[in-house]
Amino acid sequence: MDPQSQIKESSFPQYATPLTKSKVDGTPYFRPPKVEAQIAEALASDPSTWKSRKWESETMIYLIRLQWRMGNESSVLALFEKLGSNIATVVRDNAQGLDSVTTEQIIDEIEKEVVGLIFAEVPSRKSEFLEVSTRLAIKRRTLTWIKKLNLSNVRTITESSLSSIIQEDQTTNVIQMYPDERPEPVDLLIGKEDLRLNPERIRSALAAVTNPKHREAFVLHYMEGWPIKSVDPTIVTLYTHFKRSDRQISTWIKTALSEMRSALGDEI
Amino acid sequence: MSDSKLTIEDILDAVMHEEKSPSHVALQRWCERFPEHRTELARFFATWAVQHAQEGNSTPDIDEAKMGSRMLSHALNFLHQHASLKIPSPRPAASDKQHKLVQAAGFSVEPASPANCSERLYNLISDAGLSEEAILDQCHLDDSLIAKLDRHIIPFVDVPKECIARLARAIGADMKRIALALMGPAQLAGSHKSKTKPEVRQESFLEAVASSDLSEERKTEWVQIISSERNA
Repeated sequence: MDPQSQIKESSFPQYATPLTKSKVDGTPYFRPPKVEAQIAEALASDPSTWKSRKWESETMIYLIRLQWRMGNESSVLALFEKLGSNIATVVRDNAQGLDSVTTEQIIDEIEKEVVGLIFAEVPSRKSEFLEVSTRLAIKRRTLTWIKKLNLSNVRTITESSLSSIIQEDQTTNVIQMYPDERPEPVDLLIGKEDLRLNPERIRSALAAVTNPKHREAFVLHYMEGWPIKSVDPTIVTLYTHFKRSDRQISTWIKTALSEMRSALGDEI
Repeated sequence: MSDSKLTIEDILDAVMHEEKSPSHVALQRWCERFPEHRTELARFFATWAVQHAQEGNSTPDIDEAKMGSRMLSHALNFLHQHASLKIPSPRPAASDKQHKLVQAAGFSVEPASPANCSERLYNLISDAGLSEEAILDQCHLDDSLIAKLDRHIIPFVDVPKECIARLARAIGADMKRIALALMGPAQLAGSHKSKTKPEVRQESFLEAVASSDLSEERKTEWVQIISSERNA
């Protein structure tokens, strides 16, 4: 579901109870039109037929709340199972590089939290955001758990990771995307002209970085444009993020690039 | 723009809603809006960036059906732990031991389903929309007996079948559902402050009838019912 489409006001008749909360900028939450249409369709049909239908997660959350309040337990139980499977899919899709056991633990924790939000007697931004975009709500929780468990630096990287991002940005010159005025260790290691890497080469090279912090520093600096240091204290930099000296961080990036170069042999 | 009621989770939800990718430009924009959460935002964007860099990689092997069942289990556990919620709720399935007791009492038991879950007697009565007085009148019981049945002070094996049948008729529920509600460990009434959990003294149905406020006529009626069931 396109996040941008969710913030547009739905023109579909409001058959479902309207949401009561608003986004951080004050504009009210609206369910996506497709969800509103599904809810209207569901309300016009026999709940015993719901189990065999393919609903959006947002629709299921609404129907679970509704049926639970009406005491229709069997419909609620069936929908919970389907919703759980959907949550597992979203977590899995955002847990690249994690092992199955860790991923299932994260799914478990997120499912518990979602159950609490579904049965919340008083709606909150969090509980209503689930009805606006379950996928994004689950993705956010997945990232939060990865951050909590310090798992973002997992080693496993396979083909296709960086290529999609770079192709999306329609560039193959990583250095030119985020020019840095100051001399970079990388410039000392390899001439800039040599860094015109194609996506596949970058991807396979990144997988060769052994230290997760080095890889993170590389990704943040070269892929997301984080400066190493800034005279402006309000700018988030690698220096403020890692709380290490700029020399230390530069060394990390240099080491990462060294490993990437070794992995690629004569290619860079 | 900063709203004091906003939590960092609310802000991160908004970030996910509005940003397509974890760029530094986007991070700076959010830090300017919510400078008090700068560190958390930076950590979140960093995590997102590293995961984003791996998108399209092979994903872990997950049994989605199993995770669906776990979701159901979490929902049932939540409802069990928050049994005070007034809305009708699914309850945990009865144990095998309970099923055996029900079968021993002469009731057939279907595979686990919402209908044969263990429930408290008081919940069954209130869920049926009945007053306790109506139940007492129809079943020839008094409030002390109902309370003892609800808290399992009277062991299930000692409850006359006629009592179960009357409760089932009055409540409009299946007899086996009533039977399941009447079994399980005895429950303490209210809270206790001692370090060790006080023991609950159980009593037979006849003892409970004897100490009840039922009329002599109804007490005699129960004595005769128990006697005939034992001789059957």
